[in-house]
Amino acid sequence: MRISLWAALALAGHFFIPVAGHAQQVPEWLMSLKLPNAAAKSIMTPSGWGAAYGSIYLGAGAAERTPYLPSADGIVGIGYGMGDPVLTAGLQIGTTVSDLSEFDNVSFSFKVHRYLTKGTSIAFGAESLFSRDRLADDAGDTFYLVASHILQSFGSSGSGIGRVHVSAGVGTGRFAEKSERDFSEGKGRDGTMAFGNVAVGVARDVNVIVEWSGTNLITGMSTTIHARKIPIALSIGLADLTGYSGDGVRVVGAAAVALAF
Amino acid sequence: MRIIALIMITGGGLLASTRPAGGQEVDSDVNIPMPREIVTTIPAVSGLFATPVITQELAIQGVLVEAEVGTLNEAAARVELGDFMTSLLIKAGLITVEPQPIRVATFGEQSEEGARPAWTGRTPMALSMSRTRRSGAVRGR
Repeated sequence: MRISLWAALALAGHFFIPVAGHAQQVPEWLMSLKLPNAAAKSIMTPSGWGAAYGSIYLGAGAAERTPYLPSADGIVGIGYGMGDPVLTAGLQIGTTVSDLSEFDNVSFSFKVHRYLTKGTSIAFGAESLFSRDRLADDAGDTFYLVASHILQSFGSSGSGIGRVHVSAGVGTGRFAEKSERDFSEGKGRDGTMAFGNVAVGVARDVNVIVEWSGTNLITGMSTTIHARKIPIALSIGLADLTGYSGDGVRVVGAAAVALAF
Repeated sequence: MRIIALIMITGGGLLASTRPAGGQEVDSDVNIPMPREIVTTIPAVSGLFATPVITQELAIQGVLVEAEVGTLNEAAARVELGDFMTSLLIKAGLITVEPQPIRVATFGEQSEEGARPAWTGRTPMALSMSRTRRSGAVRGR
């Protein structure tokens, strides 16, 4: 009797308990895949990652001093990311206001980015487009191509500590040209066109960054804190570490917030 | 972690308070390496990878379980894992996206959402095509 009861229960379970319709195996490469952490990967150079999926961002940056001048400089920017960089392509568009007092020097930027595979992403973009006064605040229209990769052999898979993010690219504009003042100071007119950055995770969502901007060396650190799931990125760095351009080391910093819809 | 954030916030505040910002304060023969790049690069990454990496692996493990019992779907995955991870799983074939049916509603037929008539104009030949997606129905004439 007891045996037949168990048999009936087993039969009922067979019919009524949902069975995996199409069980799938998560690939090993996906289980061990290392993706970028939430902190910024660079201070002043682009990376192959970009905003997407209908997210907006708002940021502000400041430099403690302008090259060859004692005055500080600041900028605010807002942008929007759309598309899907994994399945198709992501598009990030943004605008920046560099004259905070008059609000009359506005420029635009865009970046088309695509995630390729195993922690690699590429991007093509432009910045400082349509700025009113080329000599007032930037190197004019700048176009670039950049590839970023997360070294899969380094770093903790859980906390992100030790994760190594590398980017390399080439560009025109600010990556290729020094300022007129640099030229008059005998530092030449041309930058390297090539730029790159390395960011290593030293704590959860904290990166230490070293980068070459095409005209000088920059180092700094960045972290992203999450306030009610809203990421707030904070970065601080030292720019112009070499005598290749500019007139000495400057402190730069920025804060930004991103919202997804 | 909080100490580092505090240092950064304090440093940024000091920078902002001690020297007023102004892009036009410069001589015309100087083109400045801008802090603009900071603004354009940081949020891009932060917005995309808002989820800490620690949850990435946990999320994938969770996906493994759900995929095995066949309960994983795109909408739930986007909420739980975020858009990037979900797209990655779709690309890996772990989440199957079912094609959204395109339905043609004729005159007099009510739309799926809001119970509004598909057509309200004067031309009776006008059609309304609705396609249900994440944000709702897309309707056009």
